[in-house]
Amino acid sequence: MKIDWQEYEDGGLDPEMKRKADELLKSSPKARQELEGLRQFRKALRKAALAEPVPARSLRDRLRQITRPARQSAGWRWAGAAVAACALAVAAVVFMPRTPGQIAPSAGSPVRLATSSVPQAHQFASRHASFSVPTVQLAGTASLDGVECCQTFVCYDFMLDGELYHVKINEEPCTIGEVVERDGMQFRDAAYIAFESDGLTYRVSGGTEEGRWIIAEAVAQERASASTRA
Amino acid sequence: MRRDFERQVSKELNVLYRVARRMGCKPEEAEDCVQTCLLKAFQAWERFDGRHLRSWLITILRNERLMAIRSQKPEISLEESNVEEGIEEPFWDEVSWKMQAERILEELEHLPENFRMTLHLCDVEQMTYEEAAKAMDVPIGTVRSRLFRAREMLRKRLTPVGTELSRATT
Repeated sequence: MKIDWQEYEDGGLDPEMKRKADELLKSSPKARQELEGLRQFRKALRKAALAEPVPARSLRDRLRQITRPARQSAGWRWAGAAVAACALAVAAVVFMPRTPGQIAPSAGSPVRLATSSVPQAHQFASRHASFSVPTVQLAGTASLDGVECCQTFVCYDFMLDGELYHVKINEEPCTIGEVVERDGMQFRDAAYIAFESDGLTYRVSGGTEEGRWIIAEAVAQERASASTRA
Repeated sequence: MRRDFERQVSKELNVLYRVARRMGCKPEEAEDCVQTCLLKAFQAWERFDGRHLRSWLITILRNERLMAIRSQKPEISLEESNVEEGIEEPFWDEVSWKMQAERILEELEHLPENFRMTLHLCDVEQMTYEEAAKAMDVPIGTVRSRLFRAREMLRKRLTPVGTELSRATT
């Protein structure tokens, strides 16, 4: 009797042939060896094909590139609304009729220092912010361009591949955007990329999306290392 | 919609890449091919019925690949003959399959594309006949016959001629 062991393996034998095949397997070592050979062959094939390297990260990035236009358009809509709101606020301040002697409010207004020195930027920001300002050192990833701060926030500016990025730090938690996990850390992906560390929220904006992720991940890793050291 | 697409499709990226490689794409080309497939899938996502996602994606990938190569070289005639070659036993137990992965992959590349694909989908990705049939847009019977023939073809390529002769004389 001849059994098609491939049919047997794939469940294609009719019940009668299946019964005969099972009987043969019980009585014939050669039949068992033959079936085992087929199983080993399939296993070896699967193992070989699955061992091939897959550029998983690059594929994930390509997937995000495809879905990005939809996200960008939503982001730009928010950005547009924010710009319009700021313009209205500025116009209101500039054109608002003032009584003689009245001065524009200065308390809490942001001040800026152009510097590439991280300690200098940190010292400057610490003088103005009402919270304990962290040092953000991205040497090797991006260069510091300056710092802007007031009582409620500190914003470090970084240059990466000719693009300007802002890392804004404050105590307001971020609740918008999709939660994304990268390298064991949680981010929020909205018009900017946000994450929390030691009670502060870091928001990375500006530049390109790819650049924002590079900066956000670098800052997050830097903060994680700083927390560990502390 | 975007989030749903990303969440579901991201699980299939590795499979799509491997399938693209089995279709004859070089590594960089396979990434491009997958990206084109993802773009088409994203555009058609609202029309997807939600069943057999992997098969649906592979169908798109194959179509894109076929369109890309159609202009480059004449269509290969795919052997679908039902000629039984009569397997002499023992057949599967002759050689140790614990051979180098590279050799298996190298020989796999020599099979006609449809046979290679069927073998990959069923034996490597462990898709059911139904899923593989849907992915390749062929009847289930064709998947079965291609699979059997593909295994035999690959097995014969991997078996050294001398082994068979020595077995036959013992």
